[in-house]
Amino acid sequence: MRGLTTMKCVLGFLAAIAFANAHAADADAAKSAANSDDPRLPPASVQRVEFARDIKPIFQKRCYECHGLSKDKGGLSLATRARAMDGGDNGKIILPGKSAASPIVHYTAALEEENAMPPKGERLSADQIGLIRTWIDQGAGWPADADELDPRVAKTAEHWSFKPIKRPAVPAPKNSPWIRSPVDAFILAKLDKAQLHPAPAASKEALLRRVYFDLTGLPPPLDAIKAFVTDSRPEAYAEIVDRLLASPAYGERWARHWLDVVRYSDTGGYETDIFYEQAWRYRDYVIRSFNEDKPYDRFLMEQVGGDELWPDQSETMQDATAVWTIGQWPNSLDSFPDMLEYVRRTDQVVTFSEAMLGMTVGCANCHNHKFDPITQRDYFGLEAIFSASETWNKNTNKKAWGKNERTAFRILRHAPAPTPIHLLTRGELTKPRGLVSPSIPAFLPGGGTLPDGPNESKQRRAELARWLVSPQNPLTARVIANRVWQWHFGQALAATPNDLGTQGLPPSHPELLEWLASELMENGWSLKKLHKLLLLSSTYRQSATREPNAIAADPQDTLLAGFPRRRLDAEEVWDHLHAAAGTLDAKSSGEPFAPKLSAEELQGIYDISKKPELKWAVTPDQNRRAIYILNRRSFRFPFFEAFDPPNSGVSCPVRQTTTVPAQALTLMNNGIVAAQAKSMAERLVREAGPDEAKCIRQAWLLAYSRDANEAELKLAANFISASEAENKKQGVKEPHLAALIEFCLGIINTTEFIYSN
Amino acid sequence: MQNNHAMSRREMLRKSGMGIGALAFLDLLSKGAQAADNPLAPKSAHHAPKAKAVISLFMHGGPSQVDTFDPKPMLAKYAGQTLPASFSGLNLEFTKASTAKVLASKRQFKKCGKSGIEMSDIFQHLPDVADEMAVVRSCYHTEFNHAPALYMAHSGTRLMGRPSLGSWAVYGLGSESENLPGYVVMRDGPLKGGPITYSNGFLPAVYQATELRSSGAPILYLNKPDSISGTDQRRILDFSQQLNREYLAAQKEDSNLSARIAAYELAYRMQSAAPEAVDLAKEPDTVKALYGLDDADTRPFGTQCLNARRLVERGVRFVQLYHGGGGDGWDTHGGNDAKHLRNGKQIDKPIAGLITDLKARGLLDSTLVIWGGEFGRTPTSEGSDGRDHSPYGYSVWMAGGGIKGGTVYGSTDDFGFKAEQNPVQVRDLHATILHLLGLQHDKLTFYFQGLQQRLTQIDGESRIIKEILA
Repeated sequence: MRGLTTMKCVLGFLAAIAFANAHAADADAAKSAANSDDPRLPPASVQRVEFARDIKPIFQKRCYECHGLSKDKGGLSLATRARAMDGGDNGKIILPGKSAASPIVHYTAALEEENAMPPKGERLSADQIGLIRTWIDQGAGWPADADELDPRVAKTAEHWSFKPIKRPAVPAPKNSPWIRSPVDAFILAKLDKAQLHPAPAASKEALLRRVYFDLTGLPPPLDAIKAFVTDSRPEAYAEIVDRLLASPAYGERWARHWLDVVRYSDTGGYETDIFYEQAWRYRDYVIRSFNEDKPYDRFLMEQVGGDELWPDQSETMQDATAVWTIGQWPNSLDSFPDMLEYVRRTDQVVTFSEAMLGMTVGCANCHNHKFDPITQRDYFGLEAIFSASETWNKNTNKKAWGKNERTAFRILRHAPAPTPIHLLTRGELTKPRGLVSPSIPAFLPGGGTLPDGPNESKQRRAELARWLVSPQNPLTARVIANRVWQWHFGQALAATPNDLGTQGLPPSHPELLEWLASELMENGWSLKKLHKLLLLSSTYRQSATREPNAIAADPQDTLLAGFPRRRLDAEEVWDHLHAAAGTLDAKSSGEPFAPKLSAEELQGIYDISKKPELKWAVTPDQNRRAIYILNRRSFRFPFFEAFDPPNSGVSCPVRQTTTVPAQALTLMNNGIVAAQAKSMAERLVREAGPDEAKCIRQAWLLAYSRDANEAELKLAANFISASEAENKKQGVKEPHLAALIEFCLGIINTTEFIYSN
Repeated sequence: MQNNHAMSRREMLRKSGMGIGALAFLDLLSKGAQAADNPLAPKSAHHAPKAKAVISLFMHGGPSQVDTFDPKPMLAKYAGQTLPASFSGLNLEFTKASTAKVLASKRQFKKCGKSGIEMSDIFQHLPDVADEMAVVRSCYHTEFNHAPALYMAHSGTRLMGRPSLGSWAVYGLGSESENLPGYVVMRDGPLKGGPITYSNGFLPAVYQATELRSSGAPILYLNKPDSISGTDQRRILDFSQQLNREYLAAQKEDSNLSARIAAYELAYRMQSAAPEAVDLAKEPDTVKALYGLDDADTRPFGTQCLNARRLVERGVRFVQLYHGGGGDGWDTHGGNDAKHLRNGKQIDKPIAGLITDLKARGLLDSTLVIWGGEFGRTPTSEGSDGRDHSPYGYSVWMAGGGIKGGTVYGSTDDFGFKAEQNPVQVRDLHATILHLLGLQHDKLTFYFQGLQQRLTQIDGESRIIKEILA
C-alpha cells in the first residue's frame, strides 16, 4: 500500500477525483474522469495558447499571492514549472492533456464551494478558465525562461562557491627568490599587502618532524633524522615527501581526516551501542583508497553510488557504500520502522551534504533555509535519492534490525520499492505534505529533479554521484582543496569547511583556493599530487616562530607569516607515545583492537547485562596505531577524551584544540602512559647503554626529533641523578631505572612532545 | 634568568605548597596568556543571575509521577480497566496504550508544608522542605526510551553528541573555582546513554564534565599509577615545566603554550583539591546524619549530596548527580511500587538534608537544585505490577536560587498520562534554568554546522516558566 500515509492525510480535504489523480495506482479512475467532461466546467478555448502570454499573467495576478515564490500555501507553488507540476499537499493539480480531470480547473471553476479558487475576490472568468483548459490540453507547455526567479537564487549565483571554477592568474610579487611554487606567489602577495614577511625556513629537524607527523602521523625514525640532517642535496626533502606519500602509514593518517568528516564509528550508539562489522571494512577501504591515490572524484563516486555504477565490483563497492550504514542507530526505534528509517535517511542526507557537498542542509529538514536558497523540497529531494536503498543485515539476510543485538553486519542495498518521500511540515513524520521526487538542490548548477521516476530505483545514487563530480558542480573540487589545505596547515582557507554556502566564512585567499581546485582537477583529482604541491612550497617550509609584528597584526596566522604550530591529535599522541617507546605494532587493517582499561575506566560503559567487558573485549593486540582502536559512539576511549577527539555523532569538520587539566592528568597518571614510559626507559638503556649523556640525547631524538643542547643535557642529567638519589633514599628497587622512567614520563609530559612546529 | 626564576619558583612551591600554585597560575595568566585566553575565567552573565551554581539530582530510569508528585485518585477508580481511546495514539516502548490496564498507585499522598504541595509517602523527609520547592507537573517530550530521552533531558534533542546543560552553563559563565573543574558529574553506575549523555558535544573540551568518584581516586587518572615507583611527582612536574618554559621562550609568544603550563599547575592542584573536596572526615557527625550517612540505605546518595554541597562551596558551577545508574534504578517495568519505596528511601533524607544544609549555610538562595528523570511512567501497568516509560506528562521540581517555593505548576490529565494544563517542554526547562543563571537562552550560542547553535534549539519557541520564579 504505497501512498497510504498520503491517503490518510489528504482524505479529509480532498475531492475524490483529485485524490485519484494523485496516485498512479488509481489510473483507471483518472482516465474515466478525464473522458467525461463535467457540464459545469467552462469549455476549453479554441485558440493556440502560449504560457507566457496567456497563462502566466493569470497566475501572477490571481494565484501568486498565496502560491508564488515566497508563499506556497497548501504546499502549492505556481512559480516554476517543476513546482507547479509537483502539485501541492493534496497531489497534482495539473494533468497535462487532461484539463477536465485537472483539479486546478475544478478549483477555479468552483465546482465545490470549499475548494473554490481564488478564495477571495472575483472568480476567474469563463474565458480565463478556458485558456487554462486549452493550455493543459495542449500539454501544459512551460518554457524554462517563464519560471519566476527566486531573488535568493539569483543572489546565490553570485556567491563565490556556486560560480564555475576559473583558474586565476598567478600573481607575481617582488620577493621572487622565496617563491618555489605558485602557492607561494599567492601567499606572498597577501603578505606583501599586509606589509608582513614570511618567516625564515624551518630547521631541517623541525621540517622533517613536521612533514612526518603531517603525512604519516608518526615521528621520524632516528636513522631518517640522521640521514636527512647530513644530506645537503637540494632534492633530499622532495625525496622524503615522495617516500612518505608512498608509505602505508600515509593512508593510516589521512584516512583519519576523512573518517572525522564522515562521522565514523564502529558502533551505532544509544543503549545497545551495536557493533557494526562493516565499519572497519569501510575504514580499511578509506585507508586503501588514500594509499592507492585513488582519484578523489572516483573515491566519492564509489561511496555515493559505487554499487549502482560498478555492480561487477560488488565487494569493494559494498565496503565503499558502507559509509551510509555506520551512522547513529537509535535502537529504541526498532519497533517503529518508519521513524527509524527517517532518522537513518536524515543522517545520510546530512552527512552527504556536509562531508561531500560542503553545504549544511540539515536546517531545511524542518523549514526552508533561512539564508541559503535551499528549501525543504530540496532537502527531501535528497532524502528521496537515499530512499531507494535500505540497510540490510548481511548476517541474518534480513532487513537491519538492531534490537538487543550486540553486533551486526549492515550493508546498503536496493530496496525492492523506494520508500515514498513526502515533504514533512516542520520535519515531523506525522505531517506529510505531498510526495517529493528525487532531486539535487535546484539552485545548484546542474541540479534539479532526477530522471528516475518515483518507482524506479536503480540509478538514484549513481545520478547523484555523477553530478557530484561533474564539471557542472562547482563545489566538490573547492571543498576538498580547502580541506586538504586545512589538514596540512591547521586552518582551512575557508574556515567553515563543511559549509561553503552563503553562511560559511569566505576564503582568506580566494584566488589560491580557486587555483588549487582547478589544479586538482587538471591533475586527475590526485590528492598525492596536491600534497606534493603544498609540501614543497616555501610557505610550508617556514619556521613556526613568527615575528612579534606578525603576531600582533595577524593573531590567527591566517596570512601564514610562519607555519602554524599545532598540537598533535589524540591519535597522534597515542602513536607518538608508542613510537618513542619502541612498542608500536605496525600491523595494518582488520578488526579494531581494544586496549586494556582499568576498572575505573570501564565504569562508564553501559551494558544491559552489566557486563561492560562484552562491549570492550580486550584484544591480544594492544599497541597498534590509534586509528585501529575500537571507536564506540556511546563510550569514547578514555585516553583520547582529553585530547579533543571528534564527535562521532555527526560530521566533524575541524578538531578543536583545547588545553585542559585532564590532558595533564592523562599524561601523568594513565597506566598506559606509565607502561610506555617504562618501555622507553628500557629502550634507552638497551640502545644507549650506560652512557647517560647518550641516553639523554637518544631520548631527545625520540621525543622531539632533535639533538639536546648543552643546557638541556645538564638539566636532564641533574634530574636523573637527583631522582636516583631520592629513589635510593626511599629504598626503591632499581633506583637508576626508576629514575630513567621518571625522566621519560617527564619528557612525555612536555609541551614539545605533543606539538609539531 | 629563566633558570633562576624557575629555581626560586620551585623552592617556593616546596616551601609553601598549594597557595603558591594558585599565585603562579594567576601570574601566568596575567603575564603570558591574556586573561581573555583562559576560557574558564568567570564571565559576566547576560543579566543579574539568581543562581550562581546548579545541583541537578537526576533520577536515572524515569520515576513515576503518579507515585511521587502527581496524585491521581482516578487511577484507583479505574484500576484494571483500559484507558479512554484518546490515549491510544501514544507510542510506548513495551506496552500499548490502547490495551494496557490502569494501575492504581499504592502510595498515600498528603499535603506538605504551609503551601500544601502534595507528595507521596515514599518521602518522609522531603515534606520538611516542601515550601522551598516548585513542582512542575506538566513536563513532556517525545522520546519514550532511555538513551534518546537522556540526550533530550540533557541536551534538548534525542540525538547523541550535542552539548549538555552543564557544559552550556560553564561555557556561558566560566568557573569560579581555581582548583576544581567547573562541571562535575557524580553517578552510582553507568548511564544507559553512556558518558556521552553529559558530553560537551561540539563545545570545546574545556567545558567537558569531570567525573568525580566518591570512592577510590576521585578523578580518573588523579593518582600516580603503581608502576611509577618514584615518590615525588612534583619533581617530575618541575622538570617538565622547566622544559615547557624554555620551549615557550624559544617559540616566542603563544597563548596555547602558556595555557598548557597553567593547565599542568591546575591539574597538580586538582590532585590535592579534588580529594580534599570529597574528604568528608572533617564534616561533623550532625551534618553527616542530616544527609543520612549513618544509614546504609541513604549513605551512597547522601555522600553524593554532601559532596555536591562541598563542591558548590568551593566554586564549582554545575554539579550533576545521578541516582539509579547501572541497575534498574527508577526503571520499574516490574515491581513498580516496591522499587519506588526503595528508591524513595535512598534519596529522601539526602535531598531533604541537602536543601536544609544549603539553607542553613545561606547557599540555597544562590544554588538551584533540580530533581527529575529522563521521563515519567505510564499510569497503566506493564505485567502485573510494573509501569512502562512515558515522556508525555511527568514531574520535575526545582528549589533554591530564584525559585518561588511552595508552587505547583501545570497539570496532567485525570490519569496522569499527558501534560494538559500549561505543558512544559524540555527546552522550556532549559531556558528557565539558564535564565536563573543569568543567561539568555537565545543569546548563548556557538557556531556549528552552519548555525549559531543553542541549547534550546532554533526550531521552536522556548518559554521561561515565569510562574515558578520568585
